Amino acid sequence: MNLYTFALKEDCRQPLNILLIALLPMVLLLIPAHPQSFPFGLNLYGMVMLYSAFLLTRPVVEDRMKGIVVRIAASPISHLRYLSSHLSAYVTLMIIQILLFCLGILIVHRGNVHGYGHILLLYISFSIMAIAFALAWNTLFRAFNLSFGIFSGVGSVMCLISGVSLPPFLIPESITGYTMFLPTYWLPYGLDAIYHGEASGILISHVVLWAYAIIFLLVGSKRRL
Amino acid sequence: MTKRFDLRPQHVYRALILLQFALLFTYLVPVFDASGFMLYLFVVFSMTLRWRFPIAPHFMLIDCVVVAIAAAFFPTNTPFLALYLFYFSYKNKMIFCLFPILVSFILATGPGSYLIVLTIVPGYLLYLWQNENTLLRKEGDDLRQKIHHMEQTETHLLQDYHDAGRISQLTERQRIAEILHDNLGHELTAAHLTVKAIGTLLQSDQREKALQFQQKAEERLDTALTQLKTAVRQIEPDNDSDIRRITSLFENFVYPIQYSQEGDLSQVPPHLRQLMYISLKEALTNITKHARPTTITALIECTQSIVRLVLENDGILPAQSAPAGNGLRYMRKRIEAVHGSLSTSRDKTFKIIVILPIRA
Repeated sequence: MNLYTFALKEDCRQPLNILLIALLPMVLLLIPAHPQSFPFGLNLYGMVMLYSAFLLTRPVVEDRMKGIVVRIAASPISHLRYLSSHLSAYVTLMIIQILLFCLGILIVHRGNVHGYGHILLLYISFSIMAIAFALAWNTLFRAFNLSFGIFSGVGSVMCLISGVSLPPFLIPESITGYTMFLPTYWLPYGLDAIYHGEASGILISHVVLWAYAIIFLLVGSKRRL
Repeated sequence: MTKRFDLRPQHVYRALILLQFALLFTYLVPVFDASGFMLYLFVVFSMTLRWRFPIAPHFMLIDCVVVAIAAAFFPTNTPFLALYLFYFSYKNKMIFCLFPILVSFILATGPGSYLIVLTIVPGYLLYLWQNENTLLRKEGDDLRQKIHHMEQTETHLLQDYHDAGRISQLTERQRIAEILHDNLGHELTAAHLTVKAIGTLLQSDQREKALQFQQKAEERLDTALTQLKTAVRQIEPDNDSDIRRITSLFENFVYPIQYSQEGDLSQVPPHLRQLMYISLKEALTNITKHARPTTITALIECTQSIVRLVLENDGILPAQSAPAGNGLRYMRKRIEAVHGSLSTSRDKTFKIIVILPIRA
């Protein structure tokens, strides 16, 4: 069994992860469609992705807490291989979740949604950013519980003010200048661009999400023994 | 044990980089445009990359050119160049600073833009601090390495000392064996053969001849006994010469020594007498090196169980407050090897006390 399959199995062993991946996003499909935008469940799914990514990256933090990273450092497995195998396993699970959710959109909101390919790609970009963000966030803490406790607060606020868990038109304009610096802002921005068919907006949101993903990966990939 | 936080230049450097990002953030929001935001992300990426990987500073020029080009099209983004100036000055690449300075002056939209150049000052100050820190750490490392080498040398020397002791012991044994073989072997073999011949003569009733042989055997045994006594005298260490060597150390010393002796020094085993000699020699050498005494007193006390040496001098030099040197350390190791002890006291006089157990 290679590291990739090990990381996959490790994540799938936890029932909460299965629940998050398969069932929770489906609940969001029940939110009714809005006449001037995509159904709000599509935005809210960003929040689910953020928390899913956080829970999926739990084994990496636990490996550090239990000192497994030290043992890995002494083994012939490089840190790059360890991290890339784990992250690709998490991305795989996230893509499965996204595919299931997109399939759900196709079934439930067939007439209200267009540009499925763009939505799928945007979700994938966002999920990669979310995994990288979770990785970088976890490097700041030694214990997962503390990390998750603070993240649940910060993540909620981030989603709230960036238009993920609150419709964008409800956010005061005075703070939109600041919220652009939040990586979560670029999911509703991208969805809005897809809705209005603005190719430049879609491209910008992808570029920004990838830029954030790379920055967070740079921060999070630093080995902490 | 809690780890003490040690403030280092790179901590301040990172804090200042974060501060500059925060200032750029507050500056950007009111004059916000997409180019500013994208450039902000680019600069964050550029700095994070340098934090994460050790990339040569001249590669930063490429990033700086990208920012300069973006600033040429959108002059409100000129303040981003401050970060590069700060980076180059921290890395002591002053020649690279010329490019962002030049661009800042060309694209300056107001007097505030000139302030960008000032970031060189904290950057260069941090470089100086970092440089000093590195030098100090290097000195510390060199010192630790030196101590490590000295400890290794000390171990080797002690090993050599023990080896030399073992070799001399084996040589002495061989010498004893040779003396016994050369001097006694011949006479005892001859006596043995004569006694056997006496037995044969007695069996064949040649009494007179047997008596002659008995006389010869007695003569040979007498000679063997005399030779044995001579050999023992040769083998035995010369107590007098050992004691003379120790007393001559005091008599021939550059400063006069008040020497007194209690007990019989000849009772002390020869190897301990040798150790006493070496220790006293080292202690007296230390006095010539590190003291200017007017009075030196030496006392050797021998009892049934211990030998006690006390050497005291009143010539402590004020600057001599350094810890024990190698000579004293080696002396202590040698003494401890025979279960003895060495102690020193430093007051108005410097006193060194050595105790050697006669029966360990």
